[in-house]
Amino acid sequence: MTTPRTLMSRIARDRLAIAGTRASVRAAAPLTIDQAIEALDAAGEVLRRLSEETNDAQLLARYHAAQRAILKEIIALAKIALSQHDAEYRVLTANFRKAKDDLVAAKTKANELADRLNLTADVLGAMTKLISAIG
Amino acid sequence: MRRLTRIVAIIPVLILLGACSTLPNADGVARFGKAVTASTTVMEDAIALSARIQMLDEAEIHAQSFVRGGPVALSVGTVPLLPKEQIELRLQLLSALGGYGKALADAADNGNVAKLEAAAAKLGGAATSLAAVLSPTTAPIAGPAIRLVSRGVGILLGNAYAAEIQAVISARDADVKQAATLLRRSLGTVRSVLRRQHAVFTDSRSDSLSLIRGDRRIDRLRAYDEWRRARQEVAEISAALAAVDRYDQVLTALEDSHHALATGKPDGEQLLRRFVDLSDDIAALATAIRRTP
Repeated sequence: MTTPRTLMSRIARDRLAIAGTRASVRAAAPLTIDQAIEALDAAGEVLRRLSEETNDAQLLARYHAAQRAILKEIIALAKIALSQHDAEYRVLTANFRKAKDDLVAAKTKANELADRLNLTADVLGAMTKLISAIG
Repeated sequence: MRRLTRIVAIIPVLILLGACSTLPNADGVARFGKAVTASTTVMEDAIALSARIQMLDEAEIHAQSFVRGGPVALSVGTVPLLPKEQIELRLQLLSALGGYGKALADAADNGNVAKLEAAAAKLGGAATSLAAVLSPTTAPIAGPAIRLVSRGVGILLGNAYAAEIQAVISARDADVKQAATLLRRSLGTVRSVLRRQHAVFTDSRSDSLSLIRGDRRIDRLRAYDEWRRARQEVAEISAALAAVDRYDQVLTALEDSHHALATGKPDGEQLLRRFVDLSDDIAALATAIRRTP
């Protein structure tokens, strides 16, 4: 007789299989790294729920071992995923650093211009005073 | 004479038409700065959380081993599952974004434009005084005319500055969008790792509880206390994980706040102030023209 627990256990086993070993055989296209991570995460989530619903020590030991195996796999995949797009990150970082330099340069230029205008005004003011005094 | 007065009255309109750029709204710049800080915090918290769960899990396993008669093994120091170097480029990007946000806040301060406009107006005032001393007969018209021109020059300089800042913001908008997309993908990956680490830790914690309960000398009250303590620890990790889960919201705020700056409407208050200043100068010049015999 198939109990709900057995059924859920089978579902979990199937999901694990789909997420891992049999994925490339069953799927029409190979999984991307991101999809594989998502599938492993989903399989781990099923295991977590199953673990919460049983008191059977043997079953729990199997679930917990499978959860650790999933973590190990997911970390290996995450390291690959996180090492992708390095070039794009470098380009974007350089762009934002340049934008910062451009903004600082624009502000400096505007302040220098204002200072020069103020200085010219002061010179004209001094000349006015001088001419008035002479006149 | 009336015709000349009318021509003079058109001047502010022409200047304002050519000078409709204003600096981005200060609130919008502050919102972008906050979104950058929040994104950095989420990224750093995620990696710190990973290290924390790993440490708790290892402690749990060592504790179980100790209870079963295994080695004491109190020393701490393992290789992190997700080392910080793994996200170094993301942190560098966020740091560059932070620097850009800070420079933006500095450059977008309306004080910069006001300083330029005030300096030009001051120069006009000084030139007016000098003109009055050099040629007292032309001073009644030359004075207001010089002031008007210098005001116009000041506004155009401020406008050029605002347009330059706005051009930098617009040029980086696509980069901010791309950065948010890449960071979203990375944080999605890290989140999956964290979820599984959390599940593994929860398993370890429940194994410890089963081990404790399996000892017949443990009474119900002690078992109850142990369960509550374990529950508290697991809940704390869940709360920290929920904070990392906000990453999508945080990155959307980053994109949206920058896009709002790149496509923002001109600051109405700043345009109105320019109009009022120019109108005052025009009124003075028109009055001077009318009084001229």
